[in-house]
Amino acid sequence: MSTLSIRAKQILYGSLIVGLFAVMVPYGQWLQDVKDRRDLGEATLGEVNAGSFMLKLAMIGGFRGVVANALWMQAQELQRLQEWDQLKTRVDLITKLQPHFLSIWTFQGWNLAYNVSVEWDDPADKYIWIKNGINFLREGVTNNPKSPDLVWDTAWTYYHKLGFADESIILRQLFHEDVDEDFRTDPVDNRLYDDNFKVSRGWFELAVDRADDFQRLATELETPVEFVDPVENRKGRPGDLAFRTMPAHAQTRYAAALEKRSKVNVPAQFGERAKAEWDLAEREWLRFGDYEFRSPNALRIQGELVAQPIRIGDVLEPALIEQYRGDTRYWAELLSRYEDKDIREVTPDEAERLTENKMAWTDRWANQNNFRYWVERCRAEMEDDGVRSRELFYDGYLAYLNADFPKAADAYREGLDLWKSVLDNYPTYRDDDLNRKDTGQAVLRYVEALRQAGREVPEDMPFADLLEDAELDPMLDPFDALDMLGPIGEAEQEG
Amino acid sequence: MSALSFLLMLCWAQAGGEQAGPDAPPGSSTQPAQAIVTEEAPGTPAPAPAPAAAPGAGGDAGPMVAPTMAAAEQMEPWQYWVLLIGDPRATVPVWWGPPLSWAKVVSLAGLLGWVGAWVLSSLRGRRRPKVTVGGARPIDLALLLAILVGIGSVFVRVAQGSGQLADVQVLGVSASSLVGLLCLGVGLLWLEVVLWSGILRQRSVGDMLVLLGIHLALVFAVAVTLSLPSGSVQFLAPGLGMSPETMLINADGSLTPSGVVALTLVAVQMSLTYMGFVVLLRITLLVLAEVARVRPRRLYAMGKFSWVESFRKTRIPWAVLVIFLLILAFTHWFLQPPDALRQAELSRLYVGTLMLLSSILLTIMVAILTPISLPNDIRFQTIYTIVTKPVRRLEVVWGRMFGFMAVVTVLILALGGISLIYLDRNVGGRIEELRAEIAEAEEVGLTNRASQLASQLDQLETRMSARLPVDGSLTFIDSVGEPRIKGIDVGQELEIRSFVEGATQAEASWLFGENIPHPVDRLFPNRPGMPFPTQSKAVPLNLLLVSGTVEDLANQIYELAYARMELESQKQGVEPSELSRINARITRIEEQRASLNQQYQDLVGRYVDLMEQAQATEDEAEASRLIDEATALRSPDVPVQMTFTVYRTTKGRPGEPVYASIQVVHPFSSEAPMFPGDPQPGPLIFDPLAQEFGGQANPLIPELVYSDTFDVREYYTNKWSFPASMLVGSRGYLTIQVQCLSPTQYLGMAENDLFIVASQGSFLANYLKGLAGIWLQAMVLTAIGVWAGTFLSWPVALLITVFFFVAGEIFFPILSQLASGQLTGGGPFESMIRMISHENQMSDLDATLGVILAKSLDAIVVPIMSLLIFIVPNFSAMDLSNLVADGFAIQWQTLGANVLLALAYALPFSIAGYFILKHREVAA
Repeated sequence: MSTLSIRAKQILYGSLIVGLFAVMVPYGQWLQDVKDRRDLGEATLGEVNAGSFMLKLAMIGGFRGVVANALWMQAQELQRLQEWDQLKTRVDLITKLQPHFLSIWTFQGWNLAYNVSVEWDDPADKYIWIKNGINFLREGVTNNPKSPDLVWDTAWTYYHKLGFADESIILRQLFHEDVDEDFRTDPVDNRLYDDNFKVSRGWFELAVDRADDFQRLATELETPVEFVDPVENRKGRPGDLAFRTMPAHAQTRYAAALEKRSKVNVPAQFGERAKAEWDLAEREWLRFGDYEFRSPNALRIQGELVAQPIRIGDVLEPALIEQYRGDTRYWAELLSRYEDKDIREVTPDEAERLTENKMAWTDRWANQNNFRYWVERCRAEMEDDGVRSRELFYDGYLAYLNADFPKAADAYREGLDLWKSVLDNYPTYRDDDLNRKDTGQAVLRYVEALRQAGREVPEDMPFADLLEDAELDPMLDPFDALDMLGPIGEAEQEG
Repeated sequence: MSALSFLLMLCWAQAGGEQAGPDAPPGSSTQPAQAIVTEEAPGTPAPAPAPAAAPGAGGDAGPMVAPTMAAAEQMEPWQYWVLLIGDPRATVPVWWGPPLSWAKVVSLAGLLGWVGAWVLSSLRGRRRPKVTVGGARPIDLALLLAILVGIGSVFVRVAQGSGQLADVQVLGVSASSLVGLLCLGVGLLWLEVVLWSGILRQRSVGDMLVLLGIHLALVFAVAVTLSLPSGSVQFLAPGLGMSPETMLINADGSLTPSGVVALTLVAVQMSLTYMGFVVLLRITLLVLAEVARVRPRRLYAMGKFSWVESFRKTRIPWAVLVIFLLILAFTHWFLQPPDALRQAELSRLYVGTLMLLSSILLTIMVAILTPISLPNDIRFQTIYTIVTKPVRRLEVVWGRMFGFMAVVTVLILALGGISLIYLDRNVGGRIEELRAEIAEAEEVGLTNRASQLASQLDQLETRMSARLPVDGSLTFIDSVGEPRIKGIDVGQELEIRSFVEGATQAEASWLFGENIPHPVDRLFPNRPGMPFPTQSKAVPLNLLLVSGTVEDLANQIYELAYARMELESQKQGVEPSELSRINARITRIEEQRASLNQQYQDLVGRYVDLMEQAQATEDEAEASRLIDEATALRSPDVPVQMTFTVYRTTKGRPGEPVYASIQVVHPFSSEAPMFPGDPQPGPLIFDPLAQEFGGQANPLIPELVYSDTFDVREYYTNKWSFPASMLVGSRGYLTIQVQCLSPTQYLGMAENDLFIVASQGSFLANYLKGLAGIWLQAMVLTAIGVWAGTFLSWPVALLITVFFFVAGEIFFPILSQLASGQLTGGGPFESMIRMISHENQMSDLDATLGVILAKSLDAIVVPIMSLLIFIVPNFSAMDLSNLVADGFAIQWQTLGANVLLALAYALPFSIAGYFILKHREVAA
């Protein structure tokens, strides 16, 4: 080497550099190709973020894990020191370093929305931190749009943390008033809503869509993704029934919350609006009932182990299943198609077993999700008389709280009569424990209003059998501002 | 030569193995790192430097006040003083305490440097030996053997400590310890021979005197130790790393073997310190002579040289500026501004980040720039152009430092200016936007949102100021009325706050005042033992009472009354001539008081007039002008700020806050006595004018107790104020009491959670003071960089400088734990085993060979590492950015203390650099 002149060395090193770069070109192309084939590019995983990119560059790639660990420890220490905002900054930095590490989003989103928010005393502050948590999860969704998990976590936080907290009546009011339009937009229909349950319905639906996409993707790709930070889903796996009920649950919650004072300063709504929402809720339930699940057991038919498609909605019309009890041709065709196996002939005995099995699972899963109850509830509440009786209960309760007992008694009486006529058509809903408690509450208030007004309890009082239980269980509804706070601000609202 | 300083450090560090002494008492084997150590070092044994922190170095380790006090009772005063000056860990909580500790540390470092330098020079100048064994001198061989056997004895001690080897006793002392002691003796002998031969050969009179002085100091220290009463040993033991249960004295008053060891250790430590003082004296004389010859002109020239070098040759300052601007331009890439409803955090986020960024960039620049400059000069031989000129070596070192600090100063001003513009545009702009948004929300009728935004704006503005907080001394009263040091623990992980129960007698009370006893002494006035030092937490009347206002005049009247009372008390039993003099002064005071009284009456009259006029007038503008004029005659209300936490045992009504009551008590009232447990509570101060009003209402102080209620907003700064008249005549004493009003709820508070805002300074000035903290960090780092550059090649110097910064900035807490023996899980080697085998920090490890090996290595390494606490600067203590970001004023005292702290590090490093450069063969 020492014999080479300086110029020769320069040329040598220069050509080496150029040569190495030249080798990199085909390698880069091959890499790109693999990325495309396996759907692994940064851009396909999620949004490319300039700050995140720069930080990773500064950490020379490999150090980012170490730095993320150090930041995580700092974040925990800051949480111990009750430095909530500093905690948030650290967590933001971690996600810049590891934007496709789902657990960080899931854990810290939950941490912010649940653990940090609970440390703050003022509901307005709680709301800010829940919102911080939700926005954090939503950022996770932007960075990892294919993961159903993060979408589901977002939906759940909208639904559960805002809708089921002890301070829900205030939190939901704050959501109602929030000027942040992006926060209140349904991700599916892109419309602005003033209710967290309604928005969560959209997110739950999106989660279901993503889970379906994910399923398709996982089967279509030649190999499952097994590289860096694999996108694996916890939610929406094939047998996850509860996961798929959530859009319907959210919509039902919304419709039910509409008919009471579920936000501090927003009066209840009835009429066409309520009917339409109950109608939507029913459709959500039917859509859930229409989904084809795969039976978890397999029967040995013609020497082959086969599973069956199960639709929970069939439980509303058992004849749909019963009609194939003797239809051996139908079963042979169905199973061949469904399991992609060649099943020529099914014996009558096997058809019987198949029908029994299908019936058993449909019924079991319907019970597991209380499917009949929900559908009947939506149908009952949707009726003109149903909505009307709810309105009468509400008016009666308002009059009761304002000590106008004769008016309250009249409203309750009219409402109970109507309600009875409605419920007689829906035995499942009528005999359900939840409804008995709910209706019992109305009966109890009716009786109390009568007593206060100095009237006798009539012999023919509807639902008289529910009174005794209701008297024993005088629980207040934590999600009804009338129960929690009394008729505050009612006059100005209505006036 | 370049290895000199390294060797010095090593020698010093190894000597630290002395820490727990050659013969650790068996009882203390639970602390292997400290107890099982023998001595093998060839260098001079340095002191046991365990718990005492370096001067002002954060103060995690408590000063050894109490034992020293107790020991003082056993000793003669002169013995106490000699011990105080000689014990490296002893300190006193007065202003000269830290400087004394600093002098001790510096003198020990000086001793080490001096011995190390002479050992090296003596070894280099050795003549060919007459007798050799295998080509080496017998004495060198003996030393080598002593080192090996010494290390071996450490292993044996560790094995004995974990029960793997039987302990063989000779004369009541462990045999392995005796062997270790013997090795130490050989080492010392070697040292003596080498030092004497070297110094005699060079015929250096000054150093000969130093060597003699060192021996005299040794004799002195031993003599003093022998004269100590044996009873005092018990009090000295805890500082020596011995467990408090160790028996040091027999029942008959004679010393146990452990007691002998303890006394020996005291002697060793003291003699080392006094030896260090001898060396320090010599160094001081040398440095003073050199300093006297330093000329500003030459310093300037050297400084300019470094300045030019930084800007022209390396261009690093420009790079720093460009990087800073680049990062600022893209901050939104890395920093998520807080949610629209957490705008209060905006300033904290940006101020913190900007200061951190400035600090990081500057320290990186200094860490790169300073250590490479001298080595490169030497390498490229450009140093010849300097050292051949009539320039003192100290000027070379200091001039460089000045030059680099000039660069740092200019850069800090530039970065600070840019940051302030950036802050003004971002945070200032955001404040404007918030105002507009609030107005908009109010117009639309979104009252919830408007009030939310308004509280954010209020918090944001609070943080963009420089509040001067005045803390009180906090005590509690529990729910049944008993006084307590702390409130109720509700089980929160963070223990600084304790809680008072709602709707009970429970109460938190902050006492302010000039000279108040420690809370423990207030709650238990008759407890045994010495009282804790008193605290000074006075309300600054001069800042809160505006001169010439009604309250100020009333306060002046009281000041005169106090002055008179003092004179009256002096009257008793004095000479008649003195008595008449005092009487004359009293008369003069009375005259002054009468005239002040008149002024006061006039002012109050004017105030009442103006208010009446304002009420009478129809014109609104005129009325508000009159009211303004009237208000100007009174001092503004005294602002109080509080941040409390809430702990709910029941949810309560949704949306309803927890209520609290607050009560300000004037010291004339007996509502808040000095000793809360006193059955007959009296006022803090007796009203000197009480007789004059003859039991009637005091017109100067309308009310002695002022109370109010407020709703607590958790984690927010709750603001409240009370009338300034509560301060009249208080001499800075005051009590503020807080109770929780909501039943079943608890209110949590710590001492700093409530404070009186003495002044609301400017954010700009405060930010600049915060930058001064960064400047000081840079100064210390510059001194270290230049020092490292004097004897190391630039890559090593660079690494050393970076090491010092990282150790001081990030690992200082760990170092301080290590030095005070509080680190759980053992030293580095033991910790490594725990990490690999997934053991937790607390469990006992099985005594396998690996564990014994690790513990032995730790026993050697930990004392060396714990010495670092003395030389690694506590950089984080100089960082004041948190105060700035939280909107608290940096006080001049804090800044002054930090300047001293920085100088305490920078000066020794620069002087060490000077000595090394002086003796280095650079164009010498």
